[in-house]
Amino acid sequence: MPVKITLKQALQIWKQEIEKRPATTVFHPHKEWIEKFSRGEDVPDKEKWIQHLANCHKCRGKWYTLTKKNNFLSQYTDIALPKVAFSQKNLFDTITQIDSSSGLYNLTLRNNLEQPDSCLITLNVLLDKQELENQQLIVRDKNRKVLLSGQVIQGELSGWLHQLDDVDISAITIMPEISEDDE
Amino acid sequence: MGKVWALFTNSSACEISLNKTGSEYSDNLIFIPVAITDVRTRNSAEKAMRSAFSVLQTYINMKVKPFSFSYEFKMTSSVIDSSASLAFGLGLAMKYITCSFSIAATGVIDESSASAVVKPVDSKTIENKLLAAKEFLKNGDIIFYPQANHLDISDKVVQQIKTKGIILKSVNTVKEAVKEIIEWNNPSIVIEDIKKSKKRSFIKYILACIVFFGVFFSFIQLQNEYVKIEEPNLPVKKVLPVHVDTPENISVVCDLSAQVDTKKKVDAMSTQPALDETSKKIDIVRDQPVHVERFQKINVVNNENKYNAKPIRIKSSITGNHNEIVSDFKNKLSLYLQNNGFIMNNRQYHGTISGEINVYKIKEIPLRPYTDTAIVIEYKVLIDNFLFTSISGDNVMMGTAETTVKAMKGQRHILKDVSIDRFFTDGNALKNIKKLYYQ
Repeated sequence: MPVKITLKQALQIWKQEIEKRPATTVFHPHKEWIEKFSRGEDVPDKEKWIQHLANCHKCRGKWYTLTKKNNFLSQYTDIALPKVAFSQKNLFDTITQIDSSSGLYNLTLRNNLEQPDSCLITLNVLLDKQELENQQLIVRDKNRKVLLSGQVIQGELSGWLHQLDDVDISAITIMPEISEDDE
Repeated sequence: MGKVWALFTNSSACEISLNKTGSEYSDNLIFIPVAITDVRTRNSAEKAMRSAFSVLQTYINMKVKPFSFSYEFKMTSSVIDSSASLAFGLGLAMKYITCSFSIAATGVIDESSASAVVKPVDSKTIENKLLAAKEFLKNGDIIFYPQANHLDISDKVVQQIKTKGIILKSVNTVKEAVKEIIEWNNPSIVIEDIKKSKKRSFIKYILACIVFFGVFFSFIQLQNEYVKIEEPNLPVKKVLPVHVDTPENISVVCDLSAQVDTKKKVDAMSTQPALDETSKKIDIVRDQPVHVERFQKINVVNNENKYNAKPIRIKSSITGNHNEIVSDFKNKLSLYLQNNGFIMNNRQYHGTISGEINVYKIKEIPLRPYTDTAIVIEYKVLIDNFLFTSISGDNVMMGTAETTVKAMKGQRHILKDVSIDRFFTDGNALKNIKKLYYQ
């Protein structure tokens, strides 16, 4: 015989059920554990915490976001290794185009005709333009100095590069930047 | 250098910055936004800058080189306001006109042509914008705003701005604004009106066409004249040939026109340059000897005095270059006249040549499809004290020239391997050849 039940009653029953769950839901795994696990690395007490993730929506959410971020990062991270036939100083006196290794991005360095000690760096997204539209990207040099960072608009991102003597562009890394808010 | 300020609805102003980047020899106008995230702001700014560039090129008649320009707001990046477009446009104009004063501008531009209209901004905020500009500008600076917003500004605000010495200028088009900047910067510059500019461009176009066709026809003439030796200024009376029935087997007809006044002609002939000089000139342009086999037939005609000369037939076989062709022609003509004389008006003449046979022009004309060539010899000669001149276009020999194409390209000095194998006999030979090959 069917039993009539209100939404409020149903939620109360659900709450009671949740409270009956084992103690794994009370103690959460450490943030580092979730990060390691999201990267697919070996983690201690794997079975126990996996069960926790199954029951705890907070930790599961963190794990899901980190996994998504890691996938995104690995998909859209690219490096550029420009072969420069002349000195790097001369490189900033002209227009130089550098393609990234996987062909995802193209970097253009344009000298400033009005202020020779600065250079305009432009990043063009060549592939997956729609995917990376409005995405924050960060470009670093060999010494991890940030050359350019910002939001991709209409497939490109530009910024000024100062202190050119400190820049080493023999290896450039381009990667998406995911803010903490996204997590 | 003067600064350019963009004005915003929240009563603030922001300096805009444009920088020339990349090569100084850019072919295209390129705009690179720096840290401007709003697409609408970007698009309107670029349209305004293109419009200002067109104004400088079209109306102001300035020599402006395109560059790659970066553009940005100096202090803020989160601007969402297309009313900054006029400021960007004028900012670009000020990159080409060195100004000592600063400007502030507000106005929407949504086309990139030289005749772009400045569209109005929000009527409620225009006063706030102007007051914001007042804070950053000083005496002698200019504020540009759309003419359509003129009635939205109270006299009080106008007075406040004017007391600081700032000029308020309402504009309807980008052209007006650019013109104002140029005139304010240097009043001596006369800005051309659009119609005058167009008229001047049209005259320039016509002059360019005349020069072009002049050069073109000169080039064609040069192509046609393989060797041209200036005709000596002889007091020769030009005569026209009479029609002479020539036998079918006649190969080449050389029409000679005689003039009876002999004394003057003898003197004139004695002053003519020697043939050796002519030969030297020919030798310079032809480095290889050529093999020529031909028949030469001469028709002596004097129509002015109604003397009919009997045709002279010369047969010759030549191996050599132009110089040798000419030499052979002269030898054969001399020999024939010495042996046979010539008959004119039913009277036998001795055919004694006084002085030299003066070849003053030899033309080699490449003919389509560039495997044929025509050789024209023009000359003057005194025979029995009658001056005979060949009539242009009659003494034409047709032959093949393997390298005539090169000659067409201006490499005359390497033209070689000419062999004459066809001949034209009538008075319009050259005309007919050209008609045949160039139509």
